[in-house]
Amino acid sequence: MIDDETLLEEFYNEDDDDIFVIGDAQQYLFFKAGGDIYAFDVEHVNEMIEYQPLTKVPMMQPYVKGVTNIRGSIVTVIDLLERFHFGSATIGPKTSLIIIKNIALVIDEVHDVNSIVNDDIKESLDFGFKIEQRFIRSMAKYNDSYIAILNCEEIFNLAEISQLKES
Amino acid sequence: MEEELEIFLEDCDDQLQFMENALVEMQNGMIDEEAIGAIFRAVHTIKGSAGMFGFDDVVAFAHTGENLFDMIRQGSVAVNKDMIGLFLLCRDHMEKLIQAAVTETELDDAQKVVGSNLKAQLVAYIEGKPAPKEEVVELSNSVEKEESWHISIRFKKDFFTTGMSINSIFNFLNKMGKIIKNHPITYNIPLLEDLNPTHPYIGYELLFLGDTNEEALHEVFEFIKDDVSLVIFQIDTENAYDALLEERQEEKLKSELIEASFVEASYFPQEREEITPVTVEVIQEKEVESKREEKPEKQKKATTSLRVDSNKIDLLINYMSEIVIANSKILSLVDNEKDDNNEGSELLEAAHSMKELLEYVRDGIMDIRMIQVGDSFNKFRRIVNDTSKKIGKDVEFVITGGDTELDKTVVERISDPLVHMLRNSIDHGVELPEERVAKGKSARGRVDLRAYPDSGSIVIEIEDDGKGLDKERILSKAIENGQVNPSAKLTDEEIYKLIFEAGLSTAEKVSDISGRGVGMDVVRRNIEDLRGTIDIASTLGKGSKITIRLPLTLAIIDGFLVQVGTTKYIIPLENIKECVELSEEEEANMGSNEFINLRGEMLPLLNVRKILHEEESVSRRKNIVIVYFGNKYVGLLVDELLGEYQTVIKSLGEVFQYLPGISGGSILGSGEIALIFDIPRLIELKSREGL
Repeated sequence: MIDDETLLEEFYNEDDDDIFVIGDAQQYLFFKAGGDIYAFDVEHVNEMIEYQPLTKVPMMQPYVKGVTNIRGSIVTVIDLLERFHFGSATIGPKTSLIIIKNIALVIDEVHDVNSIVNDDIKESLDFGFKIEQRFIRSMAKYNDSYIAILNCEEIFNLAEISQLKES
Repeated sequence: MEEELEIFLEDCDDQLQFMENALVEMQNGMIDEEAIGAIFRAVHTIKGSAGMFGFDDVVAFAHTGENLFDMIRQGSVAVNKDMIGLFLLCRDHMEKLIQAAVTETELDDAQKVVGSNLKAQLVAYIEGKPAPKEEVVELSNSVEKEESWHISIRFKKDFFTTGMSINSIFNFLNKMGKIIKNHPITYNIPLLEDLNPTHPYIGYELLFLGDTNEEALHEVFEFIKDDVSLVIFQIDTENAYDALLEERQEEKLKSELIEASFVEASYFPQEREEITPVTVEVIQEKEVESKREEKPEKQKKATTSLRVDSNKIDLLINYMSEIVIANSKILSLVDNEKDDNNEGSELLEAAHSMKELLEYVRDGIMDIRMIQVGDSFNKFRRIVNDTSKKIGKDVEFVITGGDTELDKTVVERISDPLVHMLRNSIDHGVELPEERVAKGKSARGRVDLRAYPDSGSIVIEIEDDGKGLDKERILSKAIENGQVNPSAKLTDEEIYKLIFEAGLSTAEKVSDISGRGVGMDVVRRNIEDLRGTIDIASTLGKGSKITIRLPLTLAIIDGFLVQVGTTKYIIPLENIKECVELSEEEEANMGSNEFINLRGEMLPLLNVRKILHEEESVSRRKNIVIVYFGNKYVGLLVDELLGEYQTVIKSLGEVFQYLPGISGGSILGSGEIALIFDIPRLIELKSREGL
């Protein structure tokens, strides 16, 4: 008989309790925004929902689109593309909200949830990628091309996103 | 901390509070069986629950207290004033013991000495020994084998030029024996502007335990004996402290000694009578009072209560709002259904009664958050007592309306501002007894704290019969600070309100109680954050009255729903004066100005669409909602008026923490979010920008 606890231990890597590990691979959420594929560590993602109308909040940074009601809670909505200064999301039938830390991120399309083995994760380049380097946590090889795993801390940097727009 | 420990702590806090309330009541002359019983039960409960956790120190201490109270209850020991004072100290010590037990720390030595002294005094009462003062002396003798010395040090102005450091004196003393209590005397430290950093303003009162003699102690100071002023004596000689007070001639030393529990307040009974002969009368009055057996207003009724985590209630409120929203969707669906087919009317009826019931449930849940202000107010009794005693004032503190109910969060957040204002009333308002007598008032001042509901809000009043506010002084100080234009003509009320401005203190001397000129502005800010208002009325020589008006609950707001562009906004009803339509004629008159002529008065307009960058309006009519805050009126130009709306306020989240003019959001029946205007801040913001 296999002991439950040893199974659990294999399941969770105790050294790094922040990261959800199966073997030596981790789970990522892949999504499209502005034609490119990006990924988030699934550990950070609370949920994904269909895009829903929002209430604009004035005087904020252009990428802070407003607030929306998710089951009785008021959640801030941020447009990822505008955060990257790539224009703004076009709302279509596949537009979704990824909710991370009580903030909803507008993205074009949820693509996949899949695991990437740790060997395929590389340090991000100092430059050369189209989004600002600070938004990238690391690069990952996915379907034979390199995509950016995004850095939540930087994208949701409270000190930055709570600034009022200069009028 | 473990959950059980947390509950234990909470329970102990409650019990200690019961004790304190009963003791303060007894101090005010209401000594009756009920109060004694309450204290006995509190001590017993603490002992019992501490026993369960194996906190032996707490149990042992509580046990002694319990024994004495049992005797008092049975009438074999009579309560006197000194005893009550002792019990208050015991209560404080018990609190420390509990804290130490829960946090698994040790009491420091001074606290241990205090503890064994207190315990010994309790034992003395149990054994029926006479005059408590002598006992203290006897006991400190029996408890410590080494001798206890009191060392009082003051430094002369140029002490630091000797090159000696104060620390090394302490170090040396600690080698000879042990300093078990070190109480710095700081009241000689001047204001910062008058402070000379090379002068030592501080002094020390030390309790020193050591096998030594007076000569040896003086020798410690041999090198600096010309630069310090010393008083050294053994504390267990009779009237030991009299000599110290005589030598020091410092007004406040006595209260410092009492406060740092070097001596008990009862140590100075004679002097107290000499200084304020009036208190004698008062004490007699109290005795008369206590003879009146039946006291009508008893503060505590035994209500059965349940302790619930407030998060659970908040969660319920959230779900409740969701149900209301879901139900309104059902209502509109049923409504549509009915148009086609009349058979839906029964369903409609059911949905409507559902809606009504849900509202009852919601009100009921909201009601759980409401607590009586009395418990919180009773905590102020001790603060008032201590504060007035400390500055030699005699104050009667009267609480009325303790059963008034207010949202728990509001009660918690109003507590600090109230303490501040009460202290102000005692420190600046109520005069010293001799001053009062000279003015023909009764020697005993009176401070009233009242709470009562009034037209949908709760009013809290603090009234004193002291010297009142000096208009001229406030005004000249404000002009001096540049807060008021010298040529401005202010009404009395406006002048009084200046005390809520930052940096305005007319107190001539800063005390540790009040007078730093910070505080009243913080008080005002706190109250405004609770969506309350504060007013002040005063008559010079007769007293002042501060009136605070608070909403019943923070969570619900009565608002007026408007639409601008595609966004809905809620304006708090309390800020709205009226709504008018902006006629085309008026609009043409305006030209590019942004004010209208309203019945002969100029009214500045705020074009909400413009400042909030909303899209073009969808409606043809334009409406103006006239809002005000204080004496400032502003017209908000909006598109649609959608009517009154009672709503639950929710925070928009941290991202919007710096957003001015909007205090939160509310989820409407349709699931949409409406933004709630913060009118005071909005007006403030626009006035600063110069509109």
